Amino acid sequence: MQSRRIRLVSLYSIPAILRNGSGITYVFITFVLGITITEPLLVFYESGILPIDEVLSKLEIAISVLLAAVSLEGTFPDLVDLGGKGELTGAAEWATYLLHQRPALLSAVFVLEMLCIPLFVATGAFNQLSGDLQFGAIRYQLLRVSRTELFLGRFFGMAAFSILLISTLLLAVVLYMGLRLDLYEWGELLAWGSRGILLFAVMSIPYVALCTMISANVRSPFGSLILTSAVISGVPLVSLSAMTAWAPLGKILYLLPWGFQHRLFHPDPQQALLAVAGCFAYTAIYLVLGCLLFRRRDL
Amino acid sequence: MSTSPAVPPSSALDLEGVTRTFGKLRALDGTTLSIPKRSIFGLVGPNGAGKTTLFSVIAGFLQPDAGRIEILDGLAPGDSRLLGRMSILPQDALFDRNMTIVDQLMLLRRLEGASRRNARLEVAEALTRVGLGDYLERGVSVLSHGMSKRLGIVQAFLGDPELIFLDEPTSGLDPRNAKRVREVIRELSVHATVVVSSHNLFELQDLCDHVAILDRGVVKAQGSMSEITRGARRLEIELERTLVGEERAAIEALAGVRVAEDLGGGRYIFPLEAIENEQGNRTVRAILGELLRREITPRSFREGSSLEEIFLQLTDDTSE
Repeated sequence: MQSRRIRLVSLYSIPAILRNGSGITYVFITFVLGITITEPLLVFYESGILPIDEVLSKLEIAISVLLAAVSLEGTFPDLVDLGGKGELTGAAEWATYLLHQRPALLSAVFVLEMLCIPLFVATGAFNQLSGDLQFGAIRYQLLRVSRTELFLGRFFGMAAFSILLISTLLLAVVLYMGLRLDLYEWGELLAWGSRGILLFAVMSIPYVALCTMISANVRSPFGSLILTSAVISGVPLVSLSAMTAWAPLGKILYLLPWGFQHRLFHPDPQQALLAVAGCFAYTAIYLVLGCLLFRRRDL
Repeated sequence: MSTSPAVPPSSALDLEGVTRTFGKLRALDGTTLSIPKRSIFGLVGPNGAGKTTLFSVIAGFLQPDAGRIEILDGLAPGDSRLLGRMSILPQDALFDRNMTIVDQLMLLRRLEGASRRNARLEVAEALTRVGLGDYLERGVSVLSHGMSKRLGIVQAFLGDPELIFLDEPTSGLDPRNAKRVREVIRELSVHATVVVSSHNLFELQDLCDHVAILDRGVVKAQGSMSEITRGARRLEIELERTLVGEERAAIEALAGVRVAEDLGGGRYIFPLEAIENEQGNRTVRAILGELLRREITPRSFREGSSLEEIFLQLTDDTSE
């Protein structure tokens, strides 16, 4: 395996992503939906409909319920009930850290984006190899590059593109907050914003790897889109609804980083580092599994 | 599939008992084939004979179910040591519509180790050679079928491959470009082994020095073109005029000549009884001598069958 060939495949794949319909959709969805979901938070503050303290107290409950839910601490209805009564101690402390020790609106944006970005990746990174498999374009490269190099090259190209895209979105939000809202110091905003951008980059990588795995083994781009979207959105939905029937079924959430990715923003640095390690470990698993399947399949 | 180092140095490719099935369909059924180095090797067969499957298995796109494949000094398909030494023009593959032509070809050359500058120069030169020099910075969507085919041929010839597979390289090309492609193949065969599959048997007979006939995944015949086409000994001759009864009878009365077949327009086929080479040569000389003695001028003559006739004899007419 030659790193030079992997680098070349990834370098040449980036302009192709941009010229590709799915790449343009990826940019469009990430920016339009990414900005749209942050807008209500900013509108609440800018319009002054509700005082900021009231907004924060409602956000604190919502975020603590959400964090407790993805930590599999109970079923969603029970957690809503407990959250309303202020009985979610662990998750509430976590929410307090995000909303009171860090720029609150930016933390809220991070929590929302954390729920959406895996879905953006599913709709943007599904066509790394499946289109080339369908139309045979891959056959021109296969006698000049090994399957493993091709697989990894496409992954690195899409990962770089995704990181750039997501970072640009978050940077735009940070700059908007700094320029338009007179709420936080530039220093704390940039510090928290930079950390968030870095952690989102880490969080997106396993999802890109999952898309590479699916895309390399499904010959139709449409089939790949359906499968990546169904897996990435289906796992949390199935997990959270299945645990209402039997709590251990909630562990399905750990098939994807959904089960631990929120810990990237944990107040305890050790927990955050474990989540980073988890993201890399999942990336490695998806890549190894995907590559093994890709090397054996007919092309 | 196994690999052993015992490849004769004269062979660019050896296949033994290669089998590949798709469900119940046996596309390759114990295919055994040997392709000499530096040859232009024709692979012919009816539709569905397994030619494209065979190319795909050799290139490593498809995994064989059984059999042994040894490429360029005993390497198995997919071996990283083959990267850049082998190239293919696949039959139905499309180029990436999201990259410019120059980027696609430059990537292929750079993967083989060329610098960015050299890759660009080589690509520009190769595209100009097949009349696509003006399309360097364009996408493939602007190319016609024939132009896409020429682009496919360019990528197969890029670099310095030792073994080149061309799956129907001239289909869809106009006569001028088909001729140009044949010339390029001839030039390349000085340095490389070229394996060509085509339904144009006259083209292959003219172009190739070796040939194999594949039918339902089984190699029915293989060898040098002259061995294959001379298998059934006969003389096909075109005369300045039709033979009258007495003239024809005189030729048929020669030793080693059977009853002639009149193809019309002064064209005749004389089946030869001779099995031995020298005996056959004597008969051919006798026929020509008899014609000249009677002042009948032969316009053209060819000993042996055409590849097409051999093909029709050997392949099953129920193939699809």
